[in-house]
Amino acid sequence: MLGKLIKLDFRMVRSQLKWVIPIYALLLTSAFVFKSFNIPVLGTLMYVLGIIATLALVPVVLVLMLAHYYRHFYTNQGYLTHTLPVTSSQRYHAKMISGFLLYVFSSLIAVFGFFIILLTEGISKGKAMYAINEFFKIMDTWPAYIGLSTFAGVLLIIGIWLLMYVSFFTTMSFSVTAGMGRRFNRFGVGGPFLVYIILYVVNQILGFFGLFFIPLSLRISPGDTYLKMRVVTEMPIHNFLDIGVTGQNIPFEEMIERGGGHFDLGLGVFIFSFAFVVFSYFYTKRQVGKVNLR
Amino acid sequence: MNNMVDIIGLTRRYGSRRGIENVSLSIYEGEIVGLLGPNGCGKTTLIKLIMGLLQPDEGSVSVMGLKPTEAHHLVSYLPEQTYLSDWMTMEEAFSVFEDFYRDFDKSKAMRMLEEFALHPEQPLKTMSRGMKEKANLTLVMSRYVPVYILDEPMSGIDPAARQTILDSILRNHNPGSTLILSTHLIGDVEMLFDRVIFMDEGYIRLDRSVEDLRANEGKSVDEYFRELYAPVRGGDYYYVR
Repeated sequence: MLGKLIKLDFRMVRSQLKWVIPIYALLLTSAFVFKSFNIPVLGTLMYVLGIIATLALVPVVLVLMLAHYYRHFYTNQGYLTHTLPVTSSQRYHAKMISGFLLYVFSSLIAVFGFFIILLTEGISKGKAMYAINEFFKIMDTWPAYIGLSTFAGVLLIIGIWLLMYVSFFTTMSFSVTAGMGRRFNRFGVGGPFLVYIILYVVNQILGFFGLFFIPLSLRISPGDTYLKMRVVTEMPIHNFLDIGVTGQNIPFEEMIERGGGHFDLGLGVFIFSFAFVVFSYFYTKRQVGKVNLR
Repeated sequence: MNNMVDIIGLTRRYGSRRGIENVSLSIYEGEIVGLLGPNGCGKTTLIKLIMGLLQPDEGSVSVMGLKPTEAHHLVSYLPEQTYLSDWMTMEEAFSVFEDFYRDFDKSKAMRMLEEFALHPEQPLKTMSRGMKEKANLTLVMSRYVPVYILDEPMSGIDPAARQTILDSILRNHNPGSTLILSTHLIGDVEMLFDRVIFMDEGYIRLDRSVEDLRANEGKSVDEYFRELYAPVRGGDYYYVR
């Protein structure tokens, strides 16, 4: 049944997505053609639009997913969704998986678009592979600056990319589901926005607390060539107070010196984030089965 | 007769407004039940609670001994509003129903579409309200289930189309199954019912077999209903205490 629900999600989202990809393809092609031939004004304009479209593609798909989640669960479509012979867990998991597949799909297209942009830049300068080669050089060297191998650096990027989806899905599904629950139901579509605002404020407060007052930090200190990093069980507020707040930008070297040879970045914030993800998963999965449709 | 739907002390409020209040009843196998009353009397609230689309404040509902959310494979439900996306065609809707309901009979659905003069490739957005109602009814009545629940299947439909819909419901519901039909258009449908439940401001005003009502009151369901509810404002009804 999970597979059938995912298939249903794709059927429903297809109608919204069918204009996103062609528009993106059109913008990217225009950027490639006009910039490659160095057509004045139009070339630059389409190139900038192509970059913006590449950056916006994944967020646009995520917003469409959010709209689909709301519509499929809490509008007229909910009368179908919530009367299908499936469990609330299956409904929730289907949304999570179909959303993830769309995230992967849109990310792959955006990466492809990014390389087209690099290729376009190279062609416009008369050296087709120039920008792409530069990009790979940077990809090869940056992980070493934080003490990682290239492979570990790539894994780190994939990890952050996965976390972005987890964070997005848990936040948005929680906001919509709690916002359409009995407590906020009277606000209609404003309910999810209200929950999101409350969640944001709570996150900021907990984030501040987690950043400074939980004894878990990433200690960054200068190495022989690159930065050294290790996890320590110290409260970052002490290091922060040592560095002090000047109201001005302090050079990194001075900051390290003031902090006693290191800078502690609070990791406690991730504990709260992880706790929220776990809470949101169980709460939302349960609440999806307790709808109050209008 | 087996109990198909059991409702005990069911209450649902919308803030300070009453939806339904302390409703208890049982609906049995093979019954055709009319859930009747003016707009806003609690019919849809009761049906949504039976379907698990609303959560009760108090009381409980079970469908063939199961929680409402666990009984969706046993119930074919027609909501008041269209639940299909506008861009969908009936062919696509059939495909969705085939995926999820083993009891969905596509050949029966195609026959019904033909009777209603609808085309399977026609998108819903190009259909009139009456056509959409027929399209939804086609999906719901093409399943073989023990319980059918139809919420206002004829609201906003012209009288000629109402008769077609009624005939279709009578012809196509699974023989021996239970049919619960809510409406405020009693005259059109009363010949259908074995039993009628009159609702009024969230309460059950009357729960009686049609045979008993006709024999003892000497009136049709519609006449009896009109006697209890006097017409005011725009053809709606209001109960005279």
